[in-house]
Amino acid sequence: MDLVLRTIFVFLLILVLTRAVGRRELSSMEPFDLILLVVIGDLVQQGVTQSDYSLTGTTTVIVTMAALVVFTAWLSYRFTRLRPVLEGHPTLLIADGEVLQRNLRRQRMTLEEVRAEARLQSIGSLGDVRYAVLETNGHISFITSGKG
Amino acid sequence: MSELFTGIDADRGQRTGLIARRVTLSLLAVIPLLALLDVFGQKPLSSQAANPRVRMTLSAPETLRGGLLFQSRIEIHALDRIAHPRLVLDEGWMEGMQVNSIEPQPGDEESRDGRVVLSYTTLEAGDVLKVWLQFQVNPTDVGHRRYGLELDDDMQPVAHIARHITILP
Repeated sequence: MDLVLRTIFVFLLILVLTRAVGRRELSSMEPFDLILLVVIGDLVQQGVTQSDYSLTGTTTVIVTMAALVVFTAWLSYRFTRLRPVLEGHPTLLIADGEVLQRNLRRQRMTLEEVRAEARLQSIGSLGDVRYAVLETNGHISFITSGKG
Repeated sequence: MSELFTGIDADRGQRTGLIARRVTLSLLAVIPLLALLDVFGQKPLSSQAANPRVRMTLSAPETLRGGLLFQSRIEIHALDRIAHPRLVLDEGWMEGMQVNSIEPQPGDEESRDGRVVLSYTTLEAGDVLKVWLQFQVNPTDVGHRRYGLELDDDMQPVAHIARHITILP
C-alpha cells in the first residue's frame, strides 16, 4: 500500500515543484536545470522505492505513475478551470513585433534566450517576428510577419 | 493533399486503437488497486497462540518483495514458569534473509532439525519477553516458505504459531 501512497505523494510534489519553478526550466537544459532534473530523478527513486529491488515494486510504481499522468491529463481536459492550475497559461513574449520585457522578467528569460530559440527555428531576425509565445510545455512558438 | 500525407487515413485504426488503449489501461489500473489492498505485501499481520502456560504473539508481514527491510516481533506473556524458553524458528525465517539484528540477543543459538533455536533466560509467571528481529529480503530469494514459530521449554513444546511467508519477485 505504501508504495502507491508514496508514488502519489511524489507525483503531486513534482507537479507542484515544476509549476513553481516555471516553464523555462522544463524545456531548457542549462547546467542548473540539468542539476535539478538529475537530482530530482535520483531522490525520487530513493523516496518512492526505498530498498525495494523487486519487479513487483517497480511495476506498481510505474503503473501508478502512468495512471496519475492519465488522470491529471483527463482532469485538465474535462475541467477547464483546472487547466491553468495543472498546465499554466501561455505567455506572450513578443506582441506585434514588440518585446514584452515585463513578461520576460516574470519568466526569468533573457532576450538572448529568445534570440537563440528563434535561431533554432531558422528565424534570421527578431524583427521578422510578429508574435512569440512561451507555451505551457516550455517551448517558444514564433509567428513571423509573413505568416499573418 | 501533399505527398507527405499519403497513406494516412483520418479514421483508420482510431477506434480499435482507442479501445485497445482503454482496455490495457484499465487492466494496468488493477495493479495499484491490488497494491492498495496490500496484496503485494509489506503490511505486518498479527498471529496469536494462547494456552494456560503462555500467550504468544507474532507480528510479521506475510508477503514481501526483494530488498525490503522489515521487522518481525515476538511477544511472550508467561502465565506459568518457563524454565528454559527456546524460540524455534522455521527455515523461512533465515532462508535468503539478511539478519540485521535480533534484540534482545539470545543467550545461545543452535540448530534443531534444520530449524534455528534461540535460547533465553527463565520466564516467571507474569514475565513478558519481547524480541525484535530486523531483516532484509535477499532479492533473489523468491518463493513461499514456512515462517512458523514455536516456543519450547527446553525440548518440550509450549506454544506454536503456524505461518508462511511469500517473497514476490
